[in-house]
Amino acid sequence: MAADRKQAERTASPWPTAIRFCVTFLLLTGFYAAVFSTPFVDRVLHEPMSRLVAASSMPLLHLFGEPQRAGTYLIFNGFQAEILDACNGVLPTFLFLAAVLALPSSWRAKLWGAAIGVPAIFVINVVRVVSLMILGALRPDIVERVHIHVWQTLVVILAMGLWVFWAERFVRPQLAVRR
Amino acid sequence: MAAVAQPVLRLMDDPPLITSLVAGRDTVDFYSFLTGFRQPMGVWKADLTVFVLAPLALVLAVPRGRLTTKLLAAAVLLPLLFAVCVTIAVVQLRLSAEAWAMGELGITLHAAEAKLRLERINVALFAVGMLALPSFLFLANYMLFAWNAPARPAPAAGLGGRRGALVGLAAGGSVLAVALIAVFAAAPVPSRDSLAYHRGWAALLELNPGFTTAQINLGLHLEREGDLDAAIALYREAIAAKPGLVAAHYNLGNALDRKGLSEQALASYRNALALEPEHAAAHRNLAVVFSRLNRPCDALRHLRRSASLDTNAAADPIVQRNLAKFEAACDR
Repeated sequence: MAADRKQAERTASPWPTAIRFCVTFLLLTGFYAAVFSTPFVDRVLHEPMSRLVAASSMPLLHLFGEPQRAGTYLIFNGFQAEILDACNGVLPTFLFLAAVLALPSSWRAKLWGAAIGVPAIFVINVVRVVSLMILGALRPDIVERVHIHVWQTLVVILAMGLWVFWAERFVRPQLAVRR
Repeated sequence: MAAVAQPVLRLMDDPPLITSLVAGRDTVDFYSFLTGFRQPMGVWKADLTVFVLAPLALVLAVPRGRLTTKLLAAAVLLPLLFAVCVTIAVVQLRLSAEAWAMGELGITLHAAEAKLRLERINVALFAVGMLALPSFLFLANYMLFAWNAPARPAPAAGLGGRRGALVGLAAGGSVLAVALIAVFAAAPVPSRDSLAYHRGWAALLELNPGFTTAQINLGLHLEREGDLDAAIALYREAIAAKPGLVAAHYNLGNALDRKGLSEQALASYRNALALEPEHAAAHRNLAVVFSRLNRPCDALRHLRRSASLDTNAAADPIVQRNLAKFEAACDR
C-alpha cells in the first residue's frame, strides 16, 4: 500500500495543480500591485502598520540603548530612520498569504497558515528594523548595504520558508489522509 | 541588466524621451535628455541579489524532488522572469521620468498630485518586481518538481521525513544566508556621490552647455566637495537659462546659506516659494535662516507652514523642539 502510494505520488502529474497555483498567485500579486498603492490603502493599512512596526521596535531597542520614536521615525544612538511602506512588512505578508490561498487545501489549513504566517512575518520585520537601527548606530557605513543586499534576500527566504513549513505541516498530511 | 534593458527601452519608448545610457565606473544611468531624469543602476544590483540568490537558496534547501531537475527548471524559468523584471523596471523608469517632468517642468496643472500618483505606481511596481517575482520563481519550481515528489532520506538517524525536511530547509537556508552576508557585505554599493557618477554630469554639461539638470546635479556635487562658489555659479547659470526652475532657486539658497550669505539665501528661498508655495523644505530652511538672523516670529511662521505641508517631518522631535523655541522667543 505504501509502495503503491509512493508510486502514485511519483507518477501523478504536477501540471494541473501547479498551473492553478501559479495563475492564482500571479492574479493575487496583480491585485496587490493595483490596489495596495492607492491613497486609501495607504491611510488605512500602510501608515498604521509603519507606526506599529516602529512602536514594536522600541522595547527591543531599549535593551541596547536609548531609542526615541516620533510617528514612523526612529532615532537610536544618533542614527535616524523612517519606516516607509516598503519596510512595514505588508508586501511579504501579502505574498505569503497569496501563496497560502493559491495552494489547494482546506480552509482550516489556510486559516492555520494565516495564523502562523502573519505574526511570524511581523516579528521577522521587527527584528529586521531593530537590527538595522543597531547596525546604523554602530556602523552607518554598511547599514545601507545590509539593508539592500542582505535583509531583502532574507525576507524572501524566510517568508517562503515559512510557507514550505505550512504546506508540509498542514496541507500534505491532509493529502496523505485523502489518498 | 543595462544591455538587456536598452532594446526594451527602444521598443517601447518614444525616441526623444529616453535616448541613452551613461556608463560610469560604478553606475549605469538611464538618462533622458528631455526630462533630465536619471536612475542609478546601483539599486538594481540589489534586485539581482534577491532575484537570483533567494529562490536558488530555497530550491537547494528543500529536500524534496530531484535537485538537478529543480535547478534545470530554475535555469529555464530565470531568464523569462528576468526579462519581466527588466520590463517592470523600464516601465517604472518611464513613470518616474514622467513624474519628474511634471514636477520640474510644470507640464500639468495638478503636478504635485500626478507626481504622487505616478510615484505610488512606481513604488508598487518596484516592490512587486523585487519580491513577488523571486517568490514566484521558487513557488513555481516547488509546485512543479517538489510538491508531488517524495522526501529525500532523512539527513540523520532518528529524524522522520517531515522533520528531516524542516531540518534540511533550516540548514540549507542558514548556510546560504551566511554565505550571502559574507559575499555581499563586502560588495561595494554604488552611491550617487561617486566621482565617476558626477563626472558623467560634467561630461554631459560639456556636450550641452545649457543643460540645467546637469548644472544642478554638478552643483550639488561641488557643494558636497566644498566648492560653494562654483556651485553657486552653476545654480545661477541654471536660473538664467530657466527662471522657473524651483530646484535651482532652492539649491542656490542652500549654497548661499552655507557660505554665510543669509540675506541672499533668503531671497533665493523666497523666489523658490513664489514659484512653488508648498515647497516644505524651502519653508523649513527659510525658518533656519530667519532664526539665525534673530527673527523668531518669521522663523515660526515658516516652520509651522513646513510642518503643515510635511506631517512626517513635523513629527520629528527636533522640529517640535524648534517650534516650541520659536514660539517662546516670538511671545517675548
